[in-house]
Amino acid sequence: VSCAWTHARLSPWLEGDLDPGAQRTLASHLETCPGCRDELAALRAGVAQLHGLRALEAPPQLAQRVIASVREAGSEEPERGPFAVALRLAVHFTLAACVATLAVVASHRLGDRGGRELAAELAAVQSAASGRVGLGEHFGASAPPSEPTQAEIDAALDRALVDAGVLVRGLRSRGEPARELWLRSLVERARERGDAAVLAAALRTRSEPEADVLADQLAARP
Amino acid sequence: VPAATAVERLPRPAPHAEADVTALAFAGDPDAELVTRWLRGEESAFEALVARHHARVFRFLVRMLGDAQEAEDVLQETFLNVHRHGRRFRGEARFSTFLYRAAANGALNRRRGLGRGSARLLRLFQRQAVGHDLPAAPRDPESAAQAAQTAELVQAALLEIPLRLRLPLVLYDVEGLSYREIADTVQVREGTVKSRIHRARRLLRERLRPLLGGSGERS
Repeated sequence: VSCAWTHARLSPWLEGDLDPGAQRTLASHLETCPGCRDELAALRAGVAQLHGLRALEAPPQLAQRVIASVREAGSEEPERGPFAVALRLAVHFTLAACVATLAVVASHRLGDRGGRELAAELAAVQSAASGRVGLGEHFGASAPPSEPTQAEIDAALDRALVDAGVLVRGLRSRGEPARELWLRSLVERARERGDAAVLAAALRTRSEPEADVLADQLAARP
Repeated sequence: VPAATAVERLPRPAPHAEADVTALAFAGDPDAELVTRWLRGEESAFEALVARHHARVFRFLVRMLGDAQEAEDVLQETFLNVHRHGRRFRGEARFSTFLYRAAANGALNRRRGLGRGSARLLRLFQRQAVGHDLPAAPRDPESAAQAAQTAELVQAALLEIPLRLRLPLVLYDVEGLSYREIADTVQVREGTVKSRIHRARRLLRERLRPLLGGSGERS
């Protein structure tokens, strides 16, 4: 077996996670390969260093500070009345309806020009989320969105990319297929620009397996 | 719709929290009694839970985030969240697992440490290269100061590991949780936990090559 094969299995071997066949192969390789024995020693030393990180005292009075903040929050917690709940629901529903309408209209008008649809949505959500302009104002209250020019698309993407917070809010509001479209474009663009903040923002929106894929892309970033 | 994170959100509310919590006793959760009393409305029981767990969760957060002040902030948020939403706790896992999960969510939401470890690591290795007193190998006798510097180096290397790998690595090798407990905390399969830990160890070992020595990869 190769040293690379062995290196990849040293940690599982230490934890007894290898099947018996692989264990035997690895043990016999270690007997004849000083380099892999060094590697094993280094890995063990690294694990021992991690164990050493257990020696960390909490600051004095930390528990008291936590308890005080919990008590304070408990006494300040506002009761959320039915009106407040209804208002929140209404706002969420309106925003969702606006974005859905926008997506349908944009999709209808722009066909498969995904980049343009993405730019229009980004611009709309960015404007709405930052509170500068509402969705209606941005595109006209009832009129379908006008087709953006290439310069508008670039400007919208550039504005969105510098504001990771807006991106997160925008991405959270999306349904799964549209979010995929957004994310693909965003990750590509952010990687082109070497923009770790945007990649991190994209990661925050993902579920576990998707986050893995995106994290690998992030790690592969030059 | 709130963002999905690498760790699932807190469990859904239980209709009869008190009845569900009796399951804790059967699961052998050492916190069962305190949790039951807290869910019945005894705030002092929650404070006892804070006193019991804060130091360990704080250490976990420091190792995840690399910054004590930030760790304290996330610790506060963690206990506040657990206190606010904790009545959803149903005793499916140990209370400590529930707590680690909330803390891990807090740490992942911060997403700090990205790219910060490499600058620290470079600086530390540069200090070592110009003759400062970092130990050349872990077997060397270490003074307290040297041990602290080594720990700083290992911490910096840890921050270089992607969060999804760092999380199970810290829970396993620093916190000493079992594969099963980590799988419950991170809510992935046990096999995934194992492979992430092994990958993380290899990455860490690579980043600590100047400290740990070794031959490097051969074919």
